[in-house]
Amino acid sequence: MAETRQYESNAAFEARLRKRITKLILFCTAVLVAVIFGFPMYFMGISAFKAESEILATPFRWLPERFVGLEHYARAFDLAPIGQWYLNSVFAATLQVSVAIFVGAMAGYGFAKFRFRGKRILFALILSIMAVPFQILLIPLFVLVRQFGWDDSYAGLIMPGIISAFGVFMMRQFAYAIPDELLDAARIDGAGEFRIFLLIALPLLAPAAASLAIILFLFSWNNFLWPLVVARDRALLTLPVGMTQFSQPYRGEPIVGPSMAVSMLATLPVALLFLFFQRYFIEGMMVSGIKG
Amino acid sequence: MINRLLLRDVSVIRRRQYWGLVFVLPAVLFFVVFFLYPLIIGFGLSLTDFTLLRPPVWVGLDNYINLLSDRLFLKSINVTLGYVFGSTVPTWILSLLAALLFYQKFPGREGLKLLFFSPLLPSVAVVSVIWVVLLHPSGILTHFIGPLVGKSSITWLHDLTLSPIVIVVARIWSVIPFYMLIWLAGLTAIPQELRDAALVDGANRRQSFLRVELPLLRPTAVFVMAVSTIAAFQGFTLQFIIAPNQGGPVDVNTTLGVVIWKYGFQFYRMGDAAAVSVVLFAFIMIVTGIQLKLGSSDRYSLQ
Amino acid sequence: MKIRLLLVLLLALGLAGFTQAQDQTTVTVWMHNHAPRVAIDEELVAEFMEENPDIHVDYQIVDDFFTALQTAMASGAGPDVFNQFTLFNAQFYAQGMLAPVDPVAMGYQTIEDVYAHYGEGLIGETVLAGDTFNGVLYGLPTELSNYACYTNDDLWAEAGLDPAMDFPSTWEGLAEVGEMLTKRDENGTLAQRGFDFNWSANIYMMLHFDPMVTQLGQSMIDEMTYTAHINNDAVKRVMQYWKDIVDENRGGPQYTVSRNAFTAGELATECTFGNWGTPGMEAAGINYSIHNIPRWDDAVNDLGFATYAFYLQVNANAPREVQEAGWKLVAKLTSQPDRYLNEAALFQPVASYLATDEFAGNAIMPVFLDELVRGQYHPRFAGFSEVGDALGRARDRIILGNEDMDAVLHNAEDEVNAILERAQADIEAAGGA
Repeated sequence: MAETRQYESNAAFEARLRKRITKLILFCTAVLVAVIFGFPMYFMGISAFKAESEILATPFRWLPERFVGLEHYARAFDLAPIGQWYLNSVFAATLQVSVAIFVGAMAGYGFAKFRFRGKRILFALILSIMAVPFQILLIPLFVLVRQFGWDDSYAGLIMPGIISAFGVFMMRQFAYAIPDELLDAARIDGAGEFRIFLLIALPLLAPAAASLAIILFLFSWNNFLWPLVVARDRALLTLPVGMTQFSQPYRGEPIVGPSMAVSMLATLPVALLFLFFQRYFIEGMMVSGIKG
Repeated sequence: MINRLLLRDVSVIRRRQYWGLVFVLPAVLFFVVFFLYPLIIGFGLSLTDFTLLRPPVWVGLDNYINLLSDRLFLKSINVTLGYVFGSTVPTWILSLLAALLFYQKFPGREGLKLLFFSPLLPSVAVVSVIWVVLLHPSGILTHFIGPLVGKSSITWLHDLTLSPIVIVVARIWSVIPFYMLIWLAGLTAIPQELRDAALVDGANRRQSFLRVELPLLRPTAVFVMAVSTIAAFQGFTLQFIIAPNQGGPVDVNTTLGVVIWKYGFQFYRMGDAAAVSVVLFAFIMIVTGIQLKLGSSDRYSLQ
Repeated sequence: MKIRLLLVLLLALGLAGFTQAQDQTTVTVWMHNHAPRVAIDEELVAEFMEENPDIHVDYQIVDDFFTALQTAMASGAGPDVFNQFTLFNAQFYAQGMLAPVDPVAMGYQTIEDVYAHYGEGLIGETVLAGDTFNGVLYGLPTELSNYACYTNDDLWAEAGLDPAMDFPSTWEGLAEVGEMLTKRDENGTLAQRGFDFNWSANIYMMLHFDPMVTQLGQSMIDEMTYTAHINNDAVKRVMQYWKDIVDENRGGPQYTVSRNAFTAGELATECTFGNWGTPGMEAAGINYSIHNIPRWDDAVNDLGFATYAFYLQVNANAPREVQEAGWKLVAKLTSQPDRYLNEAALFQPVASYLATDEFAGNAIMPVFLDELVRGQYHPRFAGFSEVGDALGRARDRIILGNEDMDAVLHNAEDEVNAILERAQADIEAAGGA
C-alpha cells in the first residue's frame, strides 16, 4: 500500500518535473527570442541617451555610462525642422484618417445596404485597388499630381491617399451587420436617407471605425515612398522621409545620437497606440495585411 | 389598391437605388481619378519617351524592348528574386516557429510577447536608420558575431555578398512578429476538440501537429505566403536607405522598386520607369493568381 | 520711358493679362533655401526696391529646387531671376533658357568690365567659367565652392608630423603620410585613418576623382562633344590610387563618411570640405589647418578638385524690361561679398574684395582662392547624375568587387557614352542647341 503510494507520487513528481522542465525550456527560448527581437528597439531607445562616442562603442553597454538627458533631442531639433516634419506627418495622417473613415463609411454603407446598377462593377473596382501595389501607380500619380499643379504642396502630399479602398471594404463588411429593420423604421418615420446614414448607420459603424482608424493612421504615418517623391520642399517633408535625409549629413556633424532620438519620436505615437489599443491594433494589422 | 402600393414601392426602391449610388459616388469618383486614371496613364507612359523636359513622345514598345538589354533592369530582376526568396521562406518558417512557441503556456509569456512584438512599431524608415547604426563595420553586430568568425571588423554593407544578406535579415527581423500574429490567429482558430481527439487516438503532440493542425493551417499558410511574397516584390525602403548609394554597392541591392525610383526621379526617364512598373505589376499579378488558385479565402478571415 | 512704350505696345497687342497698367516692373526671383543667405538677400532686395521704385521684386524661396526649377522652366512657367547650380547649367544653356549677362543694365560699360570685376585677365575668366558657354557669360556667382585639404593638427602632432612643414604636395606623398597617420589595433582593425576620400556619393566621381584624372592630362567626360574617355591609363592610375586605400587597409567606403570622421577626430586628413566646413570643425573642437589639394608627381595640369557654384541667372524668355530689371537686381545681390562671406560663409569672389587686407587675413580663404584661380568647374553636362551613378558603380566593381579593371572601365565607357548620347538627344528633342 505504502509502496504503491510511493510509486504513484514518484510518477506524479516525474510528470510534474518534466512539465516544469518543458516550461523552463520554453521560457528560456522565449526570453532569447524576445531579446533578439527587442534588442534593436532597445538599442534605439538607449542610444538616444548615450554620448555620441559611446553609441558605437563596443562592448555594448546596456546603460549609458554618461547619461546625456535630452541633449540629442535638442540637437535634432537644432539640426533640422523636426517640429515642422512632425506637424506635417500629424496633419497628413489626421486629414487622411478622418476623410477616409467618413467617405469609407458612406461608400461601405452604400454598397452594403442598397441595390443599384453597376454596384458589382464598382465594388470590383474597389477590390482591385487593394490588389494593385502602390509602386505601379507611383510614376503616373506623380505625373497626374503635377498636372494638377500639386507637386510640392500639401494637396499633392495628402490627396492621393485621402480615401482608402481598404477602408471602404472594411466598412462594407461592418455595414452588413446593421439591421435593415432599424433603417426601414427610420424611413417610415420620414427621415431622409442622408439623415439615416448620419444618425443611425454612422454611430453603429463607430467601433469598426476605431480599428480602421488605427490601421489608416499606420499607413499614413509610416508612408515613405509617396512623400519621398512628391515633397521636395524641406518644410513639406514628413517625418519618415525627413529623418533619413537627416541621417545622411552634409557638413560632417556627428548625428547618430540625434538620429536615434528622431527615430524614437517617429515611433512614439505608434507605440502609444499599441499600448492603449493593443487589441484593435493587432486585429487591425492582421486584417489589413500591412507591415507585410 | 394593391397596384397602387406596388407602384409606390417601386418608386421608393428606385429612389433608394439612387441613394446607394450617391453614397458610393464620392469614393468611386476619387478612385477613378487617383487609381483608374493613373493606372491607364501608367500603361500609356510606358509606351512613350518622357523626361519631364518636354511632353511625352509615343515610342510604342521601344521602352520594353530596350529593357531586355538594360543592364540595371536585368540585374534588378535577379536582385528582386533573390530578395523575395531570401526574405520570404525563412520568414514563413521562423514566424510559424515563433507562433508555436508563444502558443504554449509558460510563465512570463505575455510580457515576453510584448517585447517580441516591438519590431511591429517602427516604420521601415526607422528600421533602416537603426540597422545602419547596428551594422557599423566595428559596431554592435560585429561585436557579437565577429568573434565567431575571428574578425573585429566586418564590412556588412559594403561587401557585395554580405550586403543583400544583412538587408534580408533586417527585413525578416522587422516582419516576423507580424506573420507570427497571423499564424497565432490560425492556430487559435483550430478547435481544441480536434487536437484532443488526435491525442485520444494515441497520437503524440508532434503527430497531432503534423496530421491535424498543419492541414487546417493551409488557408493561413497561403495567406502568409502570398502577402509576404507580394510585399517582398515591392522591396524598396530598406534598399533605399540602408544600402550605400541607394541600392548599392554595385547594384547588389537594386530591386525593381529602386530602379523605378532611380529611372523616374533621379534620371527623369519616366517612360522607362513606367515600363519597369508594368513589369513589376505583371510579377505581382502572377503571385496573386497563384494565391487565388491555391484557394485561400478572400483576405484573412478574422471576423 | 522705353519701358512704358514697351508696355503700351504689349497692351495694344493684347498680350498683357493685367488690366491696370502699372508703371512697376515685377521681377520674380527663385532662390534655394539657406537661412543665413536669405536674411542678407531680403535686406538687399528691400534696399533695391527703395532705390528702384519702378521695380517690384517677388522674392521666393524654393527649397531644394532643382526639379522644381527644371520643370517650371521647361513648362515656360519659370521665374525671371533664379540661382542655379553649375552642375545643371549646361542643360539650361543648351535649351536656350539663359539670357546673356547684360553689362549695361548692371551699370558696366562692357562685358570685359564684368570679367575685370572678378579678376584681371585669365583670373576673371576662370572665376566666371562656371557660367560661360562658347565665350558668352550667362550669370554671376553667388555661392562659390571648391575644396581644400584640412588636417587635424593634434593627430598629426601625435604622429610626430607638422602639417605646416610636412603636408605633402603630391598624391604619392599623401599616401605615405596617410599610412604614417593610420592607427590599427592588434587585429588590424582601423582605429584612426590618416587620409581617406569621401566615398559617400557617386557625384564625387565627378567632383574629386575626375579632376585627379585631369591633372594627368585626361578627362573622363568631354563636355563639348558629349563623349566619354574612361578606359585609359590616367583613369587606371587614379583608380589604383583609390583602390590602394582599401587594399592597404587605410580606409574605404565602409567606414564613417570622411567628413563626419574628421569632425569626430577619427580621420587626420580630409580634402572634401569647402570653406563652409570650418564652423562644424570649430564646434567639434578640432584644431585644424588648411592646405592645397595634392597634385600628381608628374601632373600635367595644375588644378585641385572641382569648383562648383550657384550663379544668379536671368530667364531668356522673360520680357526685355524684366530682364533688364533682373540684371540690375543681380548686380545688387553680388555687391556685398564681405557680408555674404562673414555672415553666411558664402564666397563671392569679387576682385576688389579679394584684394582687401581683410580677405588676405582670413584664415582659410586665401587657400580656397588659390585653388579657385587654378581650378575648373566640373561637371557641366546634361545627364551628369546618371553618369556619376555609372562611374560610382565602376569604382565599386573594381574596388569592392575586385573585378578586372580593364574590363570594367571598358564597360563603363560604353555605358557612359550611351547615357551621354541619350542626354544629348533629349536636349535636342526639347528644342535645345
